[in-house]
Amino acid sequence: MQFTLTDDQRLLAEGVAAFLAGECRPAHVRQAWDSGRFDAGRWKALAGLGVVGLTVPERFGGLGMGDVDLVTLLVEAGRAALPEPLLEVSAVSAALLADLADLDGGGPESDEGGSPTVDQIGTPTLEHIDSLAATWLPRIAAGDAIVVPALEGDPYPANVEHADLVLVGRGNALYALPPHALEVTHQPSVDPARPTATVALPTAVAPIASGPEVAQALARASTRGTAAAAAMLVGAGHAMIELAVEYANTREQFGKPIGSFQAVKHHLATAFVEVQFCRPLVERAASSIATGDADAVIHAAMAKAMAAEAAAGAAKAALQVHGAIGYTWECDLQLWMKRVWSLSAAWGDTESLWRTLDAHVHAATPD
Amino acid sequence: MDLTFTDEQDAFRAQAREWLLANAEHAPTCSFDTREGFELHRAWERRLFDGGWGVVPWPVEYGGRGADLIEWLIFEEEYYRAGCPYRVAQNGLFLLAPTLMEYGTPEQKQRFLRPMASGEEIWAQGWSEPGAGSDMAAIRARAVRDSDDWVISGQKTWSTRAAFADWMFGIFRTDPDSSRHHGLSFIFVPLDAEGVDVRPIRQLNGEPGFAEVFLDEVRVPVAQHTLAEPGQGWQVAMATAGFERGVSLRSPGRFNAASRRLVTLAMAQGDSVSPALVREVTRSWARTQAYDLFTYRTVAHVLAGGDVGPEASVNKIFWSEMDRSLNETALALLGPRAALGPGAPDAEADGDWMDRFLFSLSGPIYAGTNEIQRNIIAERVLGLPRG
Repeated sequence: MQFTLTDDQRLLAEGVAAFLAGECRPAHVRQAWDSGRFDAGRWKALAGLGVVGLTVPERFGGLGMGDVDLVTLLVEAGRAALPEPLLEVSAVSAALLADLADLDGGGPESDEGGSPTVDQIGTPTLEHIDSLAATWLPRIAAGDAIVVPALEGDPYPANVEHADLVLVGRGNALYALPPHALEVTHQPSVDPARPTATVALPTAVAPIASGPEVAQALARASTRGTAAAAAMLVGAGHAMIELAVEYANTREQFGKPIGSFQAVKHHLATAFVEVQFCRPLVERAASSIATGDADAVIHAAMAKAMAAEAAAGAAKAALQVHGAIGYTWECDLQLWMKRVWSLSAAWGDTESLWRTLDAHVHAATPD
Repeated sequence: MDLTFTDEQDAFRAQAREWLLANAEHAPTCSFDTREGFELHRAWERRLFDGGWGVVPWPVEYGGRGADLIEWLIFEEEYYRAGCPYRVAQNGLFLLAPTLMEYGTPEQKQRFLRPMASGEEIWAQGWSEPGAGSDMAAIRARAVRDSDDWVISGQKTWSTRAAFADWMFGIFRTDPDSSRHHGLSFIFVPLDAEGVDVRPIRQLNGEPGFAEVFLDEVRVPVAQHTLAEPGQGWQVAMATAGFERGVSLRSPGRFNAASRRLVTLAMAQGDSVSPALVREVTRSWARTQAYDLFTYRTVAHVLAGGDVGPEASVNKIFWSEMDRSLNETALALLGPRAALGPGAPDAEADGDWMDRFLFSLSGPIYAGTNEIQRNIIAERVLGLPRG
């Protein structure tokens, strides 16, 4: 029962945190707000660090690492309010493609060919799953392709319009299409850095694959999305508390920093306790997904339901500590608050997740 | 990261479970806050000790099994799963013992650890005074050096289980010119010594769970009875406080068992439970799960050489407020029967939930109030200004 990170995992997380501290500052996030999209350059740099293709199998050009290796990076991404689609691409799509490649006969690909040709992008149907993985995973790992999921259970998927390929899950079928081949309706939300849409399939389109194993892979992908969102919420929660601490240490009233007053201290201490207790839940969810634990869905649901509430609590506390200035467009706090509100509604809104947990806890079978 | 138990850990669990299965029927079900109950619980401590399960993580020479913290957590899980009672010897075992192991001389360990483990000597904690609760540095009870003895005078209060305990560990002002947290010493006092007057205080549940301890020129040998050096009392007490707030005092096993009882209570009521209450039960369960995992995570950190430090305050806030909430939910589930007490024919489990609820109200108060804990987190973890 070891919750320890390896030295490598710790070093990678520190490296990514350092990168984001320099390259994803609030001003950078605001650029994503203004442009309505993430930054391709920063995405490419993250790919260069190995982050984007972290869980892509080595035979497809990635680092072949797992969900647990990615989880601390997702926390850091949340801490930086990263606009880039690390969750959609790395945590969900790449893993889904790798899962499916393993299904269809598995085994390493032959060494023929390098990157797929430009003609293959936008092809409405591809015959073989392994061809899909072989085509897209190397490009994902290189930071050259954005592949995002549009799965049932996440009705307003993010970053669809700027994707190269959308993996649409419907029932036990998987479709893989570029956004222009889908019926995409932009759904503006409170977080401009996380553009959402609804995705509908046009009538005459065939799935890439279907069947019970595909359904299982899609379910696993959904669980990954939930767990990854939970990790980002924990990071965002910590960031907002830190922002509020910084403010409370500098803003003076009644002759001293407002952080000297117990009410302010207690708001932030309470928020901190709640966010801290979500960390092991997030790590356990990642571990359960990685090991194929039968309760992975429950663990992910618990992690996200708790993390969403903890992050919302941190947002309220941080806003309250900031006072009126926190209520302005100018204050950076909203970059995290809106990410929290957006992510909380996605990958299993909080109420839906609690209902899943209710059913699990109150089932007739004993502990 | 590997969240499975090893074969060795599973074997350890099986051993513990086997012993508990065979012996749990001898565990007292009554309160330890009565003279008779206290002695029954002392006998239970003796049985645990004789079976080799009383002080699992202690070195073998003091009656332990030399188990690591993970094994201790496993034992605690099995202990509470078997329905065994809270430990009457907990102040000694979970608070004093780790402090003694860190700061004590070999002679002190020899003298005090085994009798502590066997239940022969049960300890109370003498910290608070009428004028020194949250503000522990305002301590005034003094110990004056007279030849080889301390002569102790003053008053301690809220000393849990002091009504029936054998010894008390306390903090006393040994430097008369000192103030606040300077000049304090950590001293062991036998409660049957001349000049000691223990006055039980009746708590909300009607029992003398804690007591005032009046000390009128009580003589205690300096040798053996002083932990660390005179004047180091604050530092040593802070270590004890760390143990109290951190992992050692409240293991997840206790709350996991409570959560299971709560779910069972809800299930027994079937469809009549409202969705709102169903949710509250689920939330309690989720929080006990979080506490369980957080504890293992903390233990992993400690086993890897890390310190807990002020983060122990995070722990204390979480378990105490979680426990209170869990018991509130139980009362809500009981509806009109919630207020029924022992002896009431319609009471659920003879009023056990109300009893647990009353105890859970004290959680945010003892071991350092949650207000103090929040101050500690704000100042020492988050970096907000003091004062």
